[in-house]
Amino acid sequence: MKNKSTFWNPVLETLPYERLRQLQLKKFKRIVEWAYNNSPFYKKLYRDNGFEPGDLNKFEDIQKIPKTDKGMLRDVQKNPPFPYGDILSVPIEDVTTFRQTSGTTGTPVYQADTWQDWEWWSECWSYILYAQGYRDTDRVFIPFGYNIFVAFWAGHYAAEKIGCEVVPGGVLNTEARILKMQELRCTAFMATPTYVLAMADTANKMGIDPVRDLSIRRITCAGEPGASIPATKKRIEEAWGCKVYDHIGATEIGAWSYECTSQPGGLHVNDAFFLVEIEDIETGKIIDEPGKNGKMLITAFDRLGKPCIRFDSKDVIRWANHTCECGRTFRMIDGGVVGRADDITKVKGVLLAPTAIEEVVRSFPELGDEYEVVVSKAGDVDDILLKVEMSSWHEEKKDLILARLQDQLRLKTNLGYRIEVRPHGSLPRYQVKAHRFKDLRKKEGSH
Amino acid sequence: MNDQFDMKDLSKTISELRGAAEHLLKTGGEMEAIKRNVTKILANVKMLELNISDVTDITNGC
Repeated sequence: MKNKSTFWNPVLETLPYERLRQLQLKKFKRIVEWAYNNSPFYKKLYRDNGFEPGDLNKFEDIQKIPKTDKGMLRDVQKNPPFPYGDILSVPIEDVTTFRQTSGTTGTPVYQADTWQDWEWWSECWSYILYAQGYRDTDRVFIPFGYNIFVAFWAGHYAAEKIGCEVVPGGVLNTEARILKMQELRCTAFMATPTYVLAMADTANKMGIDPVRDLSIRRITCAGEPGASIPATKKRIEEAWGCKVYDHIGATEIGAWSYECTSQPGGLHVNDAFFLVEIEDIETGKIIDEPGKNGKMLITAFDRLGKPCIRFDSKDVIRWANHTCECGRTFRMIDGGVVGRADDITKVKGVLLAPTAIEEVVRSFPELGDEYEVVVSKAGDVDDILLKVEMSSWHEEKKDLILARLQDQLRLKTNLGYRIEVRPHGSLPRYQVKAHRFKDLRKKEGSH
Repeated sequence: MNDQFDMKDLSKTISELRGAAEHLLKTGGEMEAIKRNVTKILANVKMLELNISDVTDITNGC
C-alpha cells in the first residue's frame, strides 16, 4: 500500500505554533541540562557566565545563555579526549562516526556522533526528503564522493529509511554517473547546485539531454545557497526539466531547514528538532519580525554526543512574512541563507554579498554557469574583477551583453565591475563547495 | 494536536519497547551480539520518542 500522506510526521509538522513553542522550551531545557552535566566545556562556559540550568524557566531566558561559535569548537579540540576535546558529552567509546568541516575558514572542526546521533541525522533528513516528494517508488542516485565530509551521507540513509532504492555513485566520474543514472532510470538525486549544473553541462557534451534522455523528477540541493537563488534555481530546473529543492544543514548543527513541494519562496525550519534565533548583527537583539536580516543562532535539541547550543553559524537569514500552503506550521525563512556574516564585506565602502552577484550573472542565459569574483586593491582603491564565461556564438552581441550585465550589477549591488570574458569551460568547476569569491585585500594587507 | 492518532497509546507502546530493549540489554548485554543490536534498537526507539512521546505531554494552554 502506498502512503499518500503529505507529512513524514503529521503530528509534529502541523502542531499549533503555541504548542510547538512549549515543545521547544521543554527540549531546550533538556539539552542544556544534558550539556551542563556531561560536557566540561559547557559546564565551564555556563558557570563562567553565571548561568545554571535551573535559571531557565521561560522562553525569554534562552537569551541569557552564552552563545558558541566555530572558534570555540576549534579551541576546545586542543583538550582531551582526542580529537574532539572536552565538549564531548558521551564516553569516547560511544562515538561511532567521525566527520569534519571543510576547513574553508580555518582548522577543521571534528564532529563526533554516536549511533543515536547518526540515526537522528537520518531522521532530520527524512523530514526533508519526504516534504520534497521522495517516496518508496523513487530510485535515488547519490553522486557524492562518500568521505570525511557529512554532505549527502545522511541523505543517503534517510532515502533508505523512507523506502527509496538508493544508488551510491561514490567513486564514479561525472560521465559514468550520468550513464549510470540513465541506465537505471534514476528518478531523483542530490548534489550541490554547482555540481548539478556541471552534470547537465557534461551530459549535454556527451550527447545526452537530461530532460529528454534521463528520468529525473526531483533534485535536492545542499552545501551552497544556489537552489534558493531564483536565477540559479531556474537555470537548474530548465537544464534538468524537473523541480529543484533547497535544503540547509551543517556538520556542527544538523539538517535544519528545507523547501517543500509547495515552494512558496522560502524554507521551513524544522522547529521540532531545532531552535532557530535570528540576531541583529549590530545590536545583538533577537529579531522576531519578518523581513529583517540577521545572524542565525541555532540549537539542535537532540544531538547528544557533541551538543550544539546557541551556535553562531554566521549564516544570514530572515523570517518570511508568509506561511505555506502545505499545512506545515514550522516557521519559514525567506529565500534561504541570504549571505554569510563573514562573507558580506565592504568594497569601495559598500556592503557586498556574493549571492547578489550570482543572482545577476545567472539571470543572463548568454553566460555560462561558472563565474569568479576577485576583489583586490589597485593602489588605494578597491577593484572588483568579475570573470564570466560566454560561448563563441554570442560574440557578435558581446558588447551589448556586457553593458547590460554591468547595468544589472550596478542596480543590484551599487558597485562597478571590471568584467573579463572567458571561453566556455575555462573557469574552475567544483563538485562540493565552490570558492568563487576571492578577497585578495586580506592577504595583501597581511604582508 | 492531530486527532487521527491516539498519542497516549502510541507513547505507552514506545515506552514498553524501550523497557523490553533495556531489559534485553541488562540480561544479555554481556553478549556483544545483543549489546550492539540493542544499542541500535534503542537509537530507533529514541527517534520514536522524539516523534511521538515528547509531544504527548505538551498540554493545551500550558
